[in-house]
Amino acid sequence: MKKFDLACLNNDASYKKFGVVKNMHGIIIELGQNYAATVFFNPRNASEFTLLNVNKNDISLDKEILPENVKIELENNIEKIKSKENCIFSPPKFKVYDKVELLVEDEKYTKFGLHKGAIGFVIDDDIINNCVEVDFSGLDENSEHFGETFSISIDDLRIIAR
Amino acid sequence: MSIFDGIIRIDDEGNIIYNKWIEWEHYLIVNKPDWLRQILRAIAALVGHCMTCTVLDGCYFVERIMPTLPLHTNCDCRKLDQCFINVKSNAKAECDLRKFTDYVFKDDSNGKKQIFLDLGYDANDSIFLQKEFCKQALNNYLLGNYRLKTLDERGQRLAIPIILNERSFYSGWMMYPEGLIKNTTPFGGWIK
Repeated sequence: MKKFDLACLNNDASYKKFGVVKNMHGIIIELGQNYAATVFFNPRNASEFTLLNVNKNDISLDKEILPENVKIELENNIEKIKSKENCIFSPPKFKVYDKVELLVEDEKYTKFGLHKGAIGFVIDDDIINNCVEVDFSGLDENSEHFGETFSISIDDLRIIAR
Repeated sequence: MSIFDGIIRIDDEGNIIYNKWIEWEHYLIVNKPDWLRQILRAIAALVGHCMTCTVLDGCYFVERIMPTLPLHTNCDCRKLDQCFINVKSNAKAECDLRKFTDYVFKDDSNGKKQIFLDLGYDANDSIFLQKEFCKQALNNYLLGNYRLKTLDERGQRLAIPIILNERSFYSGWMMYPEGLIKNTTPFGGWIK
C-alpha cells in the first residue's frame, strides 16, 4: 500500500455517516501506521469528494494504477483535497422518474423555451454540477410535440409526484 | 447491414454519404472501468479541465456529425481516427425497460402514453419496444443516421430516428465511450 494507490472500500461501518459506502473507490493520499488517508469521489455527484482516514483493513487495493500525469496533478492540488477532510456526501434529492416542477424564471432556461412552472420527469438522477437531467418534452393541446431534455439545477426544482 | 453500409451509403435524397469514424480524446481520461473514468473526470475538473470536454473522451462520432473541435480556447481535446470495424464491434444501445413501464405508459407522462397507444402499443409491449428501440437506434447510429442535440457536462445528446408502424419519430439518447448509447427519452418529436 503506497501513496496514490487506488483502493476499494470493503467495510463501510465507520464511513457510512459520510455517505461513503462499500465498493466505493478512492485514492490513497497519505499513509499512517494503521490508517490510509483516502480521497473518495461521490459516484452520484460528480463535484463531491471527501478525504477520510480509513483503517487499512477496511480497504483493498485495486489492480488499476493511476497514470503518472494524474499523480502529478494530484500532488500539485493536495491542499484542495485536504480541505475536504471528513466532508459528508449529500443524500440524493431526486429519483429517476420523479415528476418535477421548474420553480424559477431564468434566462439559462428561457433561452431554451423553458419557463417557471414547466412540468417534467427526472430521467437521470446522477448530479453533475449540481444538476439532474429532466425531460420536459410532451404534447400540447394541438398534439404538437414540444421540449426536450435538459440539465436543471436541483435547487430550481421541486418534486410533484414520486 | 454489411461493413460497407456503415462506411458508404446513399441517404434518403440519393446523396452518397461517406462515414469516417473518429474517437474523441482528452488528456487524463480513460474509457474503462467506469469508476476510474469517473474519478479521473473528477480530478480533471478539480485541476481546471472542462467537464464538457472530458465527458466526450472515448466517444465515437462520424466525423461529419461531431461537436465542433476545439470546444473552447486552450481545449485539450483531439480526435483520433477510428476504424469502423472497432466501432461496430464495440457499439451497443441500452434502453431501461422502465422508460416504458414507469414513464411512457404512466397516465401523466405529458402525452407520451397517448402517442404510443395511437401507434398501437401499450404497457404489455414494453419489452418489445425496449428491444426494438435498441435495435433501430444502434443500426441508425452505425449508419451515421443521428443528429447532435445539447452537449454539456453530462454528455452529448443525440436524436435518433425510430420507425414504428410506419410512423417516424426521433428518440433521445446519450452518448458514452466506445459506442455505447443509452436512451434518455423514447419520444422526441415526429419526423415530418
